[in-house]
Amino acid sequence: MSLKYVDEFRDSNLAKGLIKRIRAMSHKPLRLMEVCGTHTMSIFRHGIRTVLPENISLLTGPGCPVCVTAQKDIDAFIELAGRDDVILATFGDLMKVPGSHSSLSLEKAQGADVRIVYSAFDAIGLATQNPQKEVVFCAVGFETTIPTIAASILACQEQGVTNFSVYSANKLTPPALAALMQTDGVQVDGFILPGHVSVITGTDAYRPVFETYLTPSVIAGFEPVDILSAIERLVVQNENQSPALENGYTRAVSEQGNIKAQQVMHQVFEPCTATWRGIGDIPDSGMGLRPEYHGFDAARRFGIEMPDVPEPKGCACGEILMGLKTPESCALYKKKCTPMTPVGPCMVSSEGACAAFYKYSV
Amino acid sequence: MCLAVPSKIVEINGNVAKVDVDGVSREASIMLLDDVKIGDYVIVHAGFAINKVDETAALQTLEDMRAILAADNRAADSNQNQP
Repeated sequence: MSLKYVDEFRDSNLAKGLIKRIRAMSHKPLRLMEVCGTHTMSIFRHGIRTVLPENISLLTGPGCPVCVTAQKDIDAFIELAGRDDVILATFGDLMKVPGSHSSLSLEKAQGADVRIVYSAFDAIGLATQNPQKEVVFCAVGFETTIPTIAASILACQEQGVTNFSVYSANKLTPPALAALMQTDGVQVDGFILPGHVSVITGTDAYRPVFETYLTPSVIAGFEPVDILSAIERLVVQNENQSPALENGYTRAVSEQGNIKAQQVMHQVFEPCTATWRGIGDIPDSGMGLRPEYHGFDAARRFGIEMPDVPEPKGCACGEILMGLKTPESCALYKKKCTPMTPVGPCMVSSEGACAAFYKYSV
Repeated sequence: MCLAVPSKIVEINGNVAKVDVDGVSREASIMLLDDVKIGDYVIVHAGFAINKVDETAALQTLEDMRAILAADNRAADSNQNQP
């Protein structure tokens, strides 16, 4: 059985045609940033870097949620995991990220109750099965994931589940793009915009950033033909000096996005300042619980407030997330920092730039 | 993290749907979507259907791409045929 609307966008003839077209049209040196970590993985998996002309370089952006999570938030998760009354529920990618002194993996090995879940919904199941415990969900996500966490909180409220809370390190994409464009040294000639974030936000969410910086931008799906087509559009926009905000993923993304999901997200969460690894504090780029949902806020419930701590010495994750460095130009890459002994989150998350470079480099 | 795959809705019970992904069956919440019905393809992320796949748009994208590439090929052929 084939996967509908997946196989069609893996058609090798279409891919070959797009590659030929990119090679014929692209003359200027181009630095294109794939904002989303899932794109990073897809680009490597399908060998897209190897088929592009030399003048096009692909940069990984701040779109791997685990990678942009601040050290103090990782420390907060570890602090919560250390409590005897807590079951910490997390997406698997967070497990090995080193905090200042430990990681969730190490805490679990030493007896902490840390469970990997596929969905925030699964964490509610843990709460109902373990009424004597407090279940805390590590909320690390962008617009794609935040509505699912909001919906889970609403479900808890409806079902009267009181031993569930979330520690929110959620983040929004457009403010990060704006912060990136304001950073000295950042040079991006085009954005491959995240497909599934855009399913929720719609094309409209990027319009203010686009109109301010006029950086060519194309929303892309995740199959090779989707990504090659986005690169082709970015080449055309650059060669013709006609920047535009285009939607290349119309089968899933509309102008306005999923309004119901946006409503659920904004019912429970409100924008707040968030700390991004490597970038720092960005106003209105996080999503904290609204006052009426403070009962579900693990930071308040357990009085968790971790101090700002410097990122690991020598780790270039922050600069890599902004396209200022590549993994290979980090002094720790493949030496002190490997998937077995990661120093920074970009080497931990399967969607991190360093992990992807490591896995696919020869 | 934002991985999501088109899945076909095969059963709906209240806010939860049974979806089929390449022969594998699993449950997904449809709380974030209005108007889903059996047979729809939805994009599922972290246990939630986050949108329907617009079949018309999918086919249109493919058709547009094929048209552009066919025009490229015709242009290349006619250049080759010129003396």
